[in-house]
Amino acid sequence: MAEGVTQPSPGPEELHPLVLGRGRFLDDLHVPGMLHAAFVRSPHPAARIETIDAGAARAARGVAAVLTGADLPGEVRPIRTRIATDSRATYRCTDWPVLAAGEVRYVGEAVAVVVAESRYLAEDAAALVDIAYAPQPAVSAAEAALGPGAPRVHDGLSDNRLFAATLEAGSPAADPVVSVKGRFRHPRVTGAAIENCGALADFRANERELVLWSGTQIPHLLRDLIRDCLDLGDIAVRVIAPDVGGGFGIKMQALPEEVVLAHLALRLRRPVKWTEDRLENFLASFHARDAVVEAELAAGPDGILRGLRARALVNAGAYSSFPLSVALEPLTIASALPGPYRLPAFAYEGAAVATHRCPVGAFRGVGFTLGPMVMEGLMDRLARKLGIDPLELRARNLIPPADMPATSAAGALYDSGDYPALLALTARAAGYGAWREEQACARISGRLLGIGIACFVEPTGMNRAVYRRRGMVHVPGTDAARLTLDRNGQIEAAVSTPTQGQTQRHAFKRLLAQKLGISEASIRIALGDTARTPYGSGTFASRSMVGGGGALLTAAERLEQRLIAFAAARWNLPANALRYEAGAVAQIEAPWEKLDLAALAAFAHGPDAPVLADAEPGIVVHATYDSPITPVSAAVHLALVEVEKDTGKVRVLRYVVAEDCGPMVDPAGVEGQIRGAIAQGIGSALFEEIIYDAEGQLLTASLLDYLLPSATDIPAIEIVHMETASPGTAGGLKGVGESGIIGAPAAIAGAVLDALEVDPEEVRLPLTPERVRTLSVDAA
Amino acid sequence: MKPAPFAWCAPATLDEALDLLAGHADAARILAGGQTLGPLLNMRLATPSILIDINGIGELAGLHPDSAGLTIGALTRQSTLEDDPKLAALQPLIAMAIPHIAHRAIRNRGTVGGSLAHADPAAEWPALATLLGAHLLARSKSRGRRLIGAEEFFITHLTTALAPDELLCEVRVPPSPPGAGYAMLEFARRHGDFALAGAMVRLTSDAGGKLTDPRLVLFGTGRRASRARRAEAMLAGVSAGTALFAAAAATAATEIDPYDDLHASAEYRRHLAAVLASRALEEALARMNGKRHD
Repeated sequence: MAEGVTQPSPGPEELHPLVLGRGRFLDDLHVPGMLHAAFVRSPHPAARIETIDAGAARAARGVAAVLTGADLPGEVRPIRTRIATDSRATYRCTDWPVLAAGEVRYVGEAVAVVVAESRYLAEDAAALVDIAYAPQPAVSAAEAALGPGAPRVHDGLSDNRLFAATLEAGSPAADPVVSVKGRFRHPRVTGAAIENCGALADFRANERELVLWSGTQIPHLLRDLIRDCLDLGDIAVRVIAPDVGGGFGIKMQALPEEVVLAHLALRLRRPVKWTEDRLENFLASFHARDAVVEAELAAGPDGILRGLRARALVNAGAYSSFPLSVALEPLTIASALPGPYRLPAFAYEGAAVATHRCPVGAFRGVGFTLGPMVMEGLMDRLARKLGIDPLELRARNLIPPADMPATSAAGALYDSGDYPALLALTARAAGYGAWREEQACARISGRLLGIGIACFVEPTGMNRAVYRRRGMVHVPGTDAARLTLDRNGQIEAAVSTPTQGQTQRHAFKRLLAQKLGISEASIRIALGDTARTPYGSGTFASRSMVGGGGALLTAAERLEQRLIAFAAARWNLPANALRYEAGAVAQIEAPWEKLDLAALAAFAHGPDAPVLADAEPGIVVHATYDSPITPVSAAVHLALVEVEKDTGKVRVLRYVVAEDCGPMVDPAGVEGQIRGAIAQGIGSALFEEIIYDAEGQLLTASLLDYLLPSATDIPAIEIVHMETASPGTAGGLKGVGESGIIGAPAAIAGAVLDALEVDPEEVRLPLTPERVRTLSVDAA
Repeated sequence: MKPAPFAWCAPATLDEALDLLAGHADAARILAGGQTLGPLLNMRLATPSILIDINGIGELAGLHPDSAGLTIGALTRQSTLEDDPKLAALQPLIAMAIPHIAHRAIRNRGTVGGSLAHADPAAEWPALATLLGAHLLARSKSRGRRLIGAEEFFITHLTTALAPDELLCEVRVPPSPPGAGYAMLEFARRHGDFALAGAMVRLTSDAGGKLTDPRLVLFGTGRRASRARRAEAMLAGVSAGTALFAAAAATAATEIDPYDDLHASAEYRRHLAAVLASRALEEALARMNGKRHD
């Protein structure tokens, strides 16, 4: 275990081409003969489609095709996301037609697609598609969707509940307890990547290969879905993620439009591109969260926790997204609620309900964010009620290192970590005592300062067992790597976890170089192409370093064995007389006799290359990695904010993080992940909210109305580290991709309430100036 | 987000531009900085059949100070004003307001005339013109030259007194009165956003320390930026004092007609207007008294 402060370091060179404008993103790709698609989208949250007249659009200048849902049946199947449930959960599968079939269920749902010589012409013609809708009663809020007589989003289902699960562990102690409760509402938000979504599909007739370029985080699973939705016969599907301008989980769902593009390329025998614009992104790419949790926390008079009871309701939108389904948010909230605390009893009910809104999917943090937002909110209430300092209350309840590995109240295994030390480190780095003094002084002069604390855990790189336990059958839970030693001594490492700009190439290079004892310059990383990388889950849920990194380390061990096999053939010695060390194979008895990578590469590809009986020619190894455990990172956030009394404006003055994400392969990359995710978490806490009206119309369809925090809204973020290696993963690695956004909403909300000294019945994010002022007026 | 088809004309002279406007008045839109029109075109919220691009008409840009005040060409970029070292002395309030207009990249292209002609009730320029008693020069083939007072120019939300064939050519700002103290405050969710509410103040006093012609404009709080006349009347001719300012600010907040939108309720806007008006009055007083030089 180590601790210390790292200075911000310049980003890796991997990012330079992107920063200099030399990246090649989806919209930079041009295939000869390429057509452009524009989608006609529903203006109604709920309506039957009576007629569609596409005649004028088909006759318009430059138009190659106009397709509606009626043109598809039989050829193109809907997206059907399955979940295998046990007795504690119910799930209802929804069919999501890739173009609306007779009915629309949210504003923005794709009803028709126009393909033309340019996007301009396609949009001109899209305006000519004449659709007669018969609007139907719509339901927009989750609570309303559960009410008696609520309009049903799917006629075939008896009500709008798509998923429900319960969890019960332990039993609350019988002795006298204090309890606190509250309701916590997280807004519907989205990842708002710089680059929107999109796809380019091209059928290569000669190779019988359908190539789909997409900014996807899950190239292999998207390929699975395309195959499931289309009748492809002998046609191969290849998915390629080019440079991607941010994913944040939003791009880990398959879009119906991607299936439509694949179909169009096959049907028209022309390449077709669709570049989603920001308006479409807000209307019809994936939203996230939109959850409310009611919870009650019980403790003894000493503040020691006795039990937690919680009920979560998630507004899932109209359909279940692929691959994780609407079960994702309620299941994740359940596993996140107990946090890093000893909790003898836990009872949970979670549900996802269908509404006439855009479907929700994963977004950085998923239900993990609701965990501390609720639990840390309740801890603050408990601290106020008992008159215990909130930091001290947490210290009394953290799982101590002696209990590791520990099983959480939600049944998750926490493999390692020293949570009390992490809390103490944060308090020391921030100067917590001095903050409290500053707060007291400020109050005397009429200024409102508040301190927020978020202690939390982040299960990362979830393994196969977790996905099987959650019933998520479309995700293998494994990742894979292939190492190829070239003729010139270069290693190509192909990994199944692609990058959306998180600098995995840099981190993977460093990891492999250290493992093999070679220079980073002799390694090339290949990502994001199903034809070039082995099959695996993809990049999401903080799994690149655990899954992709674990596969790389495993493959590296096999590469060493393979190199030894070639050296054995070269020297005509038994393999057990040789060992691999620092970029070369040496003879154990005569260690000065060495063959380095270049020499072995030349030998393996040269005129005297051996024909080894047990493998293909050349030096290629492959590893599929299922992490033996799901490693758990942990962090503590401390935020100091000032609330302007008469306007309600919140300013974040200090933000201190202690992070333990295991051994850091690339510290600059780790800190980039933490800072970026905290910025997004401050966004959720103070700025971002996707708003629908009661009828299901989207009111925030542009960046003018959906407010992302800007640079001036984000304070300098001070980070200190602990590095507790996981006892169960390759290299002891853990993940860190989501950490920042898990803690930031809780820390900011806690700080604002601390400043106002209020415990409202409902904590509703974002804490806009008006809401903050209302809280302070109500309290007074 | 691609615009519908349109014809693009780039007249080289003002006369040509006015000819084009006369011929296509209802179907044409003027393209200056394009910072508002561009997005409107891309979202197909505006579908003019012809764009008259005035960027090549050099005579429409520039600052011309003289004894009658400051004349600013409609095509003058916000950043030109921002970077002009003389502006703070000539028109302190304009110099204070410019940095609040969106972001630098937008100010590099956005024009004074574009902002005035767009007449967004939360924008800075209509409020500046209203407070400073500016006049706006419109020209057309049918009416020739027409000088319109700011309070007649701004009619309501996104609506001005300009006729369809008229081009806004310049704004004329009277000289800053000697010894005036100014303040400009706005409250936005993020820096650079349109204000949820804003207040501009100009205070001047006579030899006896009594306020003369106090001006208070609130913006972002109604269908147009407007002077709070009753609050101004409360202040005129009296000695300045903080209590008086709070009362005047409260009165000013009753003179507006705020609206609800996604970012704030009407009630909250009214509250902000009172808070900002009070603070702005105090700041302006401090500047007038020479106690504040920021």
